[in-house]
Amino acid sequence: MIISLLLILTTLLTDTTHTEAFVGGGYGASTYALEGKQYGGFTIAARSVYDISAKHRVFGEASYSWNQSKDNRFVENADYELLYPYLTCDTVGGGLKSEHYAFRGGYRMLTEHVLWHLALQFRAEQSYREVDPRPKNKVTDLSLDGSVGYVDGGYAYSLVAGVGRYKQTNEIKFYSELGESMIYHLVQPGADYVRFAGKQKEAYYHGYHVGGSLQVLPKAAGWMASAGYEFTAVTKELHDNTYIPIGRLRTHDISALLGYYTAHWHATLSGGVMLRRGTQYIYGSAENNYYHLLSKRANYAENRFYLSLDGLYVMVLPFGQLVWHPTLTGVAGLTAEGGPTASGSPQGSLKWGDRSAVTRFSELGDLLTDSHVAARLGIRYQFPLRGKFGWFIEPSADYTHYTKTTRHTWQVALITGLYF
Amino acid sequence: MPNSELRTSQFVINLPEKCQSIESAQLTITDVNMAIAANYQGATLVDDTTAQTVLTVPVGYYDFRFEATVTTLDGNTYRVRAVSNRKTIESDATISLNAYALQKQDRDFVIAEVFFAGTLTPEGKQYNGDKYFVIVNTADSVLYADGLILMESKFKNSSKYILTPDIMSSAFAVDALYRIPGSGKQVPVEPGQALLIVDIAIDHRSANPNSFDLSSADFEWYDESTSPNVTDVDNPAVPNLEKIFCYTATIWVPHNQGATTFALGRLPEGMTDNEYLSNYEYRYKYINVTSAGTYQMSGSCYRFPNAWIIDAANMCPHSVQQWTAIHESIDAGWAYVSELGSDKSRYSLSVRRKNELVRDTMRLQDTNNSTEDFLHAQVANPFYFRP
Repeated sequence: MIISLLLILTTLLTDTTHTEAFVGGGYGASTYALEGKQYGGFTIAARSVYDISAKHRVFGEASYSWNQSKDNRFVENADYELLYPYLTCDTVGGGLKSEHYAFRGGYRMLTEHVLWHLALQFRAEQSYREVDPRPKNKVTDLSLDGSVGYVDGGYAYSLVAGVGRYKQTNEIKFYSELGESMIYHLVQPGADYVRFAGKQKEAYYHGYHVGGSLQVLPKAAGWMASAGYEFTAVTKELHDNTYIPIGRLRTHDISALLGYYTAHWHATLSGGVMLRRGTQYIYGSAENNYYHLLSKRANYAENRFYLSLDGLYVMVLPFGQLVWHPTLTGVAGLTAEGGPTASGSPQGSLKWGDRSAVTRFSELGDLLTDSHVAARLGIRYQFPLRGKFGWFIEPSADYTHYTKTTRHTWQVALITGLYF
Repeated sequence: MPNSELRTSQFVINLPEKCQSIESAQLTITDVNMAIAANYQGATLVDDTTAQTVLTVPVGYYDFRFEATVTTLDGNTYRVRAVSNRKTIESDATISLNAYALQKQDRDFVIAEVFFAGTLTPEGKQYNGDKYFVIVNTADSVLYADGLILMESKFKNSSKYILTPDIMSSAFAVDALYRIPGSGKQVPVEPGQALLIVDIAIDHRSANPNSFDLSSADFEWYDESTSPNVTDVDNPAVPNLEKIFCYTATIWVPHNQGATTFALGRLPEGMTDNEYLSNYEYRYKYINVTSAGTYQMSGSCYRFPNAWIIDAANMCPHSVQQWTAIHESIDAGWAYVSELGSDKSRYSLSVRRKNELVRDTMRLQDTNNSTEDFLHAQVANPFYFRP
């Protein structure tokens, strides 16, 4: 979140009026069970920056994408990386189809010494399957971000803040007249809330995120730096009949970035730590459909460190330009707390024993908390057509390797479009 | 977990008779929310009828199971068990458990097998009408089955309600009562022998090769339906159970997902059906909490005094059990054929009481705890106990 805001501000300062529209498609394969064995889809998008004057700028972008995956396992949610460990799972799985809609629009004002912007961003997604078990996930994610900065010489010093609201409905239906399979609700990376297994097929996630950062950005070329913090809280409720919150996730994301920017190349090194903390809601007797809340107990803690190196180089050719855009990312997770004893132990020699539920999702727990390294290379070729109009094509390739489970994913994609 | 989450719990075990010692005691605590268990060894004899264990446990929702070997004042040694399920520990508390001898002394008829799920046709369609119950005489002498009433609970073990008035400690709330016909000496059952009671006593294999030939059943239940769309089939060669009451105006179908309780009992000698139905109606109220609001609900069924009950077996899909629809002194556990009520794998599966042959006589386990006493998810065989 912080890093994407930084790039937005960079664009606010350095871009000039332009518009581009493109279509693209991708295909990939994976041995990482949560992504599916194969996946592919297409995207249609447009984005525009328009300078009303040197002082006033509006910008916006919109996109639609459709994706399909095959043989996903375990997780029946959208946004599983955000929501884990409070995921809805089963042992059947299957392919998923998904549609994504995104919109962002905003205004920026730049005077001799003041830079500020305000932007609204909305993302909607639905993912579903057309055979049992049939999850239907609907995501809405609305964000508002703004900044105010002081411009002095070649640099702007900005304070950025953002706030957002997140919702996901997660419903699983079975059409077979013969019956259903079990649905589980994870409360730790490798363990489900056994009491709510099976019967509860509808869940609702709701939460918010708020964050801010301090940024130093060049107007044309120079160093850029940022340090930021973002807090996210999401609660999962089951609501087949009554609303039963079962878990609340809080993440603290502390990040920093250092880089150098010119019109023809840039390089950034960014990194941070995400502290993920979970609270399980402990229930007593359920009478008259009402579950009596006994306690809220910390049951999950994980620290994830990430480091990313991003570069861009514009090569001017006799005919057009070639833009190289490589990225290398590493994510390492340290699970500090969790597992079957997290519910607490009675005194002395009395220890909670193992349970079958741990075994059932232990592989999923390993996958969710695995460290990984990812590499991406995009090469964009831009060719001027007539006047300000031009055509571009950008092939890209992504590869991710998960170190503990030795799984991997890869994807190739191609987008092409017009710019003016 | 903070210490503020720990509670001191005093477990008081009331022993079935006066004892001079207690050994090999073990208290198993199972966290219902997460299905993890812990064992604690040892208990002290407070007086000759009470044992005690004191533990600190986290705030939570638990099942408790106590077992020990006791020696009575007159020198007899036997195992005892006490079970208390679905209990909340929220504050320091004393938890009382009533222990019973694992060797049951008074033997009578017991429910030996229940097949409620039905079968699937080769085309994968649900097939009903082949449900059955098997009851077995576990006494050492001939018992007469006529007059025995087969009952189904009003309430499901998967949905707990606080009922007003609460009659559970004295009576069982029932919604279907069918009786084996006879004057009291017309249906003798030898020790270890079984009776097969079925829904429709025909050879179902002609309609569904995956079903059974139930034409040799001892009894069937038959309902005169008021709906021409839902009718029963009567095999005149097999005697019908006498219907005392059933909630439906069509045909009785035992709960297909297995979430109710079945029981055997008898009316007191001389009591007529009309006297029972007139004097033992149970009108109750409860609160139903839904996402749309909270509603005051009411209903009625019949109450069957616990003292008249001979045996009972709670059924409930394993993952959704919330309480027992009958008092836990009669059945403290529950039997199941599937994790989930609507589990596809439940068809053709039954619950069958644990059994062994002792000197050519079938001995069945009956400790008033169906979780312990039954083999779950067995391939249904109506002739297992009655070849």
